[in-house]
Amino acid sequence: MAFISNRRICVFCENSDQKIDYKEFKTLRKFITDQGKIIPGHVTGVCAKHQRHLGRAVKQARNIALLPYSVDPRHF
Amino acid sequence: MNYYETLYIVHPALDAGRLKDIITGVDDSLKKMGGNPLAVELWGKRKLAYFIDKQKYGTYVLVQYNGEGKCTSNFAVELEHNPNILAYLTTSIEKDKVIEQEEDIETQIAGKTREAERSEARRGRGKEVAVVETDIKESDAPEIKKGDKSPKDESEQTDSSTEERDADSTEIKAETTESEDKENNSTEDESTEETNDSEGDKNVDSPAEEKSDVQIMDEVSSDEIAENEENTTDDEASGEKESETNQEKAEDEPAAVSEEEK
Repeated sequence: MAFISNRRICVFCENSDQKIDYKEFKTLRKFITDQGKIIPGHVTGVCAKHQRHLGRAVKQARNIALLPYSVDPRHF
Repeated sequence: MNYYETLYIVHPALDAGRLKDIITGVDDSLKKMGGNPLAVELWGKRKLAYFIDKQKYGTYVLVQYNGEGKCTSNFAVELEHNPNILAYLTTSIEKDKVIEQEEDIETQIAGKTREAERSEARRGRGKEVAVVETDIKESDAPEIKKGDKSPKDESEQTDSSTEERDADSTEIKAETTESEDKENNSTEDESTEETNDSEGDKNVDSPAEEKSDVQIMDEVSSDEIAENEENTTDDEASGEKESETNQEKAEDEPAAVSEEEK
């Protein structure tokens, strides 16, 4: 069994090429649940700064119908 | 001078010509508002995450421009009043994020239409393949039916058997009703015969009883009929007696039936 460290590293801090943008909705999908909720940073390991950017990008993508506001769990 | 980008959704029902007109119209209105369009990118028809104006799909168009802050508000009003635009989003961008437009709008629209046609053709092929598979299955199905009994045949047989059973049950019911009627008639006839016999035993000499005997014999011989014709004169005379005897029969019949039922 491989050693899993408890220390979480922000994905966007490690990889500076990966930018947070509302047009990159495929990457944003990793940070929302199946119901469309934004996953908190302490779960995903994203730092506070990038979590703010993520939240803003997700809300912009929701506004232009790239991401859903909410998904009925009965439709899974 | 700031840099902005606006992503707006055009109605999906518009064809290529109308789409080009709308995009050029939006650019013209942007120029009127004091903006300078730098790049236009057509994303193509995409499925929306939720319904907008009862539309499931929409054509996304991205416009990047620079201008004063006032032009964005006027441009937003212009987009708001355009019925062919379902939704729009204006954001401020940095100068580095401006796209270098390589193709014109016409070529982009043509390319997107080609992609759409290809995707439709692929879907059509998939449907054709599915149809062929279903046809093959249907062609195989009768061969299987010939050898073995398929569930449909069994169901049909069951249906036919149920129908036959229903028909048999109706026939049986009809037979039972007929038999009951026959039994009732036979009981009534027997009772009438018995009553007639009993009356004949009682009053042998009366001509009315002779006629009743002739009726029971169902007019077997013409000689007997002739004899009855000869005795008609006597029958008329004894008509009152016949009526009395018939009344007695009517009274005796139900009594006889009730006795037999018991």
